[in-house]
Amino acid sequence: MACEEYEKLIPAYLDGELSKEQKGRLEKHLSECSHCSEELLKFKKLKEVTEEMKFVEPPEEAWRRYWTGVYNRLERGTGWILTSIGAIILIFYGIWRSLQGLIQDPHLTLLVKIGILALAGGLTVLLVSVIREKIFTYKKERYKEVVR
Amino acid sequence: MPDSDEKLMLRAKEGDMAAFELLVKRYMKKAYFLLLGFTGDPEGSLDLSQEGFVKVFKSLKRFNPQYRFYPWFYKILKNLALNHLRSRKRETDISNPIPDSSYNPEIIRERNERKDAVWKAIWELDPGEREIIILKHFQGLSYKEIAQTLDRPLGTVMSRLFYARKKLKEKVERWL
Ligand SMILES: [Zn+2]
Repeated sequence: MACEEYEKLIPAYLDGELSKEQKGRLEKHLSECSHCSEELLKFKKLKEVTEEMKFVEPPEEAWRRYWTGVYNRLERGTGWILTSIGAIILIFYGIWRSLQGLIQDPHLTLLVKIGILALAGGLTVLLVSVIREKIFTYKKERYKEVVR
Repeated sequence: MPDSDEKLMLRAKEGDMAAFELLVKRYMKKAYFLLLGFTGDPEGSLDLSQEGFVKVFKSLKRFNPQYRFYPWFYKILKNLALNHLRSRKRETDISNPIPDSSYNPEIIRERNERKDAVWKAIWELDPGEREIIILKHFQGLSYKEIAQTLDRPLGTVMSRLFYARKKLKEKVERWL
């Protein structure tokens, strides 16, 4: 086996991830090869450096409030769905009431009536969705200010 | 002995909120640090990781207890990170001519010149190489766990890690 092949085993050797047999072979080679021994030292140093690197932790407070944050999101999801459904029903009812005369007009064909209702329904959904987005981005902006 | 992740998932699937809470607390730091490693964005990662748990909750019904939790969760988090990076790239394209703002040396604890150099070198690796370095060094996974997470054979993990570290070693040679 050439040095190149042994070199590939070095990082796994340092991680303690080689099989007994691979480990034995590599150790024997290292005892005879100064090039690979030098590589071993460099990989070892690199491992030490990467191991002492850690990410900055957020404030302890963030972990304490973490579960509540997740829970609120779950609840908020359901909250938004219910609010949206409620708003859509009520707004649609309002539009329907104000168009009732038109819809019950016997001179209009069924197709036109269906068209009016679809238009009203579509507008209602769009309206609710835009309002919801506005509230959501407004809240996000405020949150950003608090954090910074 | 504490319940396994998979057992907690099963209990949560049956509506046990306390089990889900345990799972969230068990994985919140790991999820946060994984997203931080991918995005370099501390504030965003806290937000995204919570979003990740919401996604877990919403797909509890689809969770198959024959599979392990972490690899499944990992896919969810990775997708969130990629979407976050994509949307932030679009934002910077419009308002800011600096191409990549995601490299952030300030997320490393007790910074010094050497650590900055190493983190920069890790950041400059190919995405697949950076991913495996993060899994090994910042998530502390074993080769077997990495293989399960990435759904790759053990030999592939070993050689990918070798090439990533070799490249890293050459980039930071003067600091070793
Ligand atoms: Zn050799």
